[in-house]
Amino acid sequence: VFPRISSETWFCILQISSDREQNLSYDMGPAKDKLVVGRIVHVVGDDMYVDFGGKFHCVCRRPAAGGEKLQRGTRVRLRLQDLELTARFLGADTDTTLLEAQAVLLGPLDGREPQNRD
Amino acid sequence: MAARALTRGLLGLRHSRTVTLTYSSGHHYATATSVESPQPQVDEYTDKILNQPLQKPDFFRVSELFSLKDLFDARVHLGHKKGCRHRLMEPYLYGCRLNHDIIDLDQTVEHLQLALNFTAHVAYRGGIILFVSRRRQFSHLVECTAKDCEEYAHTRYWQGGLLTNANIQYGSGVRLPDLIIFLSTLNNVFQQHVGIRDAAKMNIPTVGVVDSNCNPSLVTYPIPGNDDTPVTMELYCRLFKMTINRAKDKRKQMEILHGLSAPSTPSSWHE
Repeated sequence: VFPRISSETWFCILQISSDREQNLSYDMGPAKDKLVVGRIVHVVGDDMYVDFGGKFHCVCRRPAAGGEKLQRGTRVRLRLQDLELTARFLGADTDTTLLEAQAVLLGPLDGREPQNRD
Repeated sequence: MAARALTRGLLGLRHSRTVTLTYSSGHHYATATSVESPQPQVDEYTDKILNQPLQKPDFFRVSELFSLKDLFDARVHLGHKKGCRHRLMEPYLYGCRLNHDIIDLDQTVEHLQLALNFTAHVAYRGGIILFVSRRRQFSHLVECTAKDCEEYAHTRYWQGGLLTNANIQYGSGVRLPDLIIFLSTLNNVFQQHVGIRDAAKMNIPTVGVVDSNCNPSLVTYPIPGNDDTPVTMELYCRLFKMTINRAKDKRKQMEILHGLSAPSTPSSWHE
């Protein structure tokens, strides 16, 4: 019914592993202790919501030292712990999800010029 | 025409029967001709305007609005973890990688095209579209989208009888939406939104973005895809807005086009 572009199937695109900030790279493996670059999208007081290309953002606390540099739009380095915080509680049918990822903030992305992350 | 001549003759006779006839004929006399004569022309007019878009499968060319790569870049394929998966979403999943569900974008493309096509047809015919989402993170985005395409949005607490008890809550003769678009089918406690069940009860078709933890069964046009990332929600809102505006512009265009070509009908003067 609708015209289909046969060459552009889902399978072909999944093979192209892109490590732009838009999508995490698929040959990354498990998320535990992987280093990624994220961008701060929202700040509420001391909490910063960082988007690193996954399904959810992560929330990090502003560090005591060098905190003024980290504003909305700043790129930061993170060490991921989990892409989605879920747990199965007793008596539940499905997992309860917090709709958040967990990561440790390492610091701002320093101005090292050869960082062509495209 | 013949009816008018007949009633004129009967009026002259002064028969007792004509009393009722005069009343009815006098009542309808003024309107008889204006309803009768344009009838064949109104049918031809509505035939061109309303039936012609139904001849082609993709009259509004909604499949040109997005590509599979756009969906991938907007992270539509990302689902929740395996433990959150709803059993009925399993046909729409491509697979599960390291406990994270991946939604099959081939199916998403088809479903999204169907949903956008249906939305376009509803907007073309002047239907009322209601955007619903209970995600507070995207509430402002959904409301702005609705405002930009001159349709309606409901992103607050859904009162129990909003659709099913509308005649009592909002007065009789209230017009219900002709299409409800759910940008997230869950409410704040991860249960299915009441609006889906109520719309099914009231025979209102629904379009809904169903994530891997949602129940797609009651949604008329489900769109399997991510509903948690801001980039993804912006993509959906942009697509719906473009479709609705495109359909409405097409309607205006068709009315002008056929209004000029058809013989003088009341509706063409109205335009």
